[in-house]
Amino acid sequence: MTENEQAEQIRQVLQRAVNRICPDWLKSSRDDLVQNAMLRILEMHKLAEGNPSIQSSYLYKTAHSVMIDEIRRVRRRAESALDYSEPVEDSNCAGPYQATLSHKISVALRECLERMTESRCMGVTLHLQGHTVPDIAKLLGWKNKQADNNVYRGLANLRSCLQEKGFQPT
Amino acid sequence: MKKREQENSLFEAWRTPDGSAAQKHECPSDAEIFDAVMLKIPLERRREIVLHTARCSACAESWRLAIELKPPADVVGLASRRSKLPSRGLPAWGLAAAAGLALVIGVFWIAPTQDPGFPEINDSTTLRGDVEYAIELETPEGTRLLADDFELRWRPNEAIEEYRILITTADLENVFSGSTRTTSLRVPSSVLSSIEAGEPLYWYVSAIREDGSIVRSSTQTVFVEPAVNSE
Repeated sequence: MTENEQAEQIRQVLQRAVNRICPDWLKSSRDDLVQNAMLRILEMHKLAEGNPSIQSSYLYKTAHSVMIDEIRRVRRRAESALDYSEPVEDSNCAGPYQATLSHKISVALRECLERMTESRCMGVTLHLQGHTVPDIAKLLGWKNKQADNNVYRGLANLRSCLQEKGFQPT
Repeated sequence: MKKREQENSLFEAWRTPDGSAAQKHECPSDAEIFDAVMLKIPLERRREIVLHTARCSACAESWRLAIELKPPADVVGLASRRSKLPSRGLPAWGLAAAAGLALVIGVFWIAPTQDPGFPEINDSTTLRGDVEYAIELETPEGTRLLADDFELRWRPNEAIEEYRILITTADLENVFSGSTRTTSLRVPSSVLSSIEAGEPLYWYVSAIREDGSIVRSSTQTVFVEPAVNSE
């Protein structure tokens, strides 16, 4: 395999990683993000002469770092209106009223989480982040049953707390 | 169906930024969040970070991105510090990528003296990332700093809101991350207690400008020497 093919292989790993996390409104920046990640890896590795091996997970870590920087940069520049105007079959684009409502629920939701016991708060937070019960158990050092209980009871707490705050389930 | 809709609206609300899109001083670094998702940091710290993400939408977003970037299951956990685990668990592409990268770096690093021809890598159109090394580090490359007097310095830059400093080991594990508005940062000796004398550490500074753009320094090496007052 030539050097060029090897470089291309690394680029593809990064490309896959970036494609998996890149929001629609950052599509146009994907190539730049990959280039950015390549640069950072090359630079770090150049200095780590005594560390010739590199874990593939580091490629993902770099892509994560580059991507989150970029998302924040773009958001700070208030360019987030870019693709939000495009019609997408997604409730995230339900218009200003829905966006305001979501924001209010978001604030209320975090207030409710703070009122819970730590265990339920952690369980529900990870559930909302998209983790499965076995994942949650592993992340928090719990048994599956314990994770299941904390998520289930935490969600019940959350719903009643939101209702108290005036957010009735539709 | 109704329950599903309720659940969806909860998820939607959860993912809505609460106006604090930027990380704050007390936030864990993104690298640490990534390591937490990959189960590479101690359980207690993982729990602290999860509790933090419950009230910080910026860090919660960083966590979600890390989930999306989770490498295949058999790769997770193989990169623990100084571990010498056999590589048979790595998928073929992972091995190839790692080996490929090592080779490419080797070629890239040696290229200026031995083989000026490596056009794809040296070609500025290929490596055209938008990293801007606008911050100049003042602490000289290769400096040896005492663990109890470990201060890193850099030159001021225009219109900077905040400087962020990241220090890693050669294994690219986080040693310290912090932020400041000044142009120096003293790392607590307690943070360096697990670092062996003479071990190289890599550090760089990134900064957020008032216009929202991010600039950074190059990465440099420093070495830790035992504290003067250590027994």
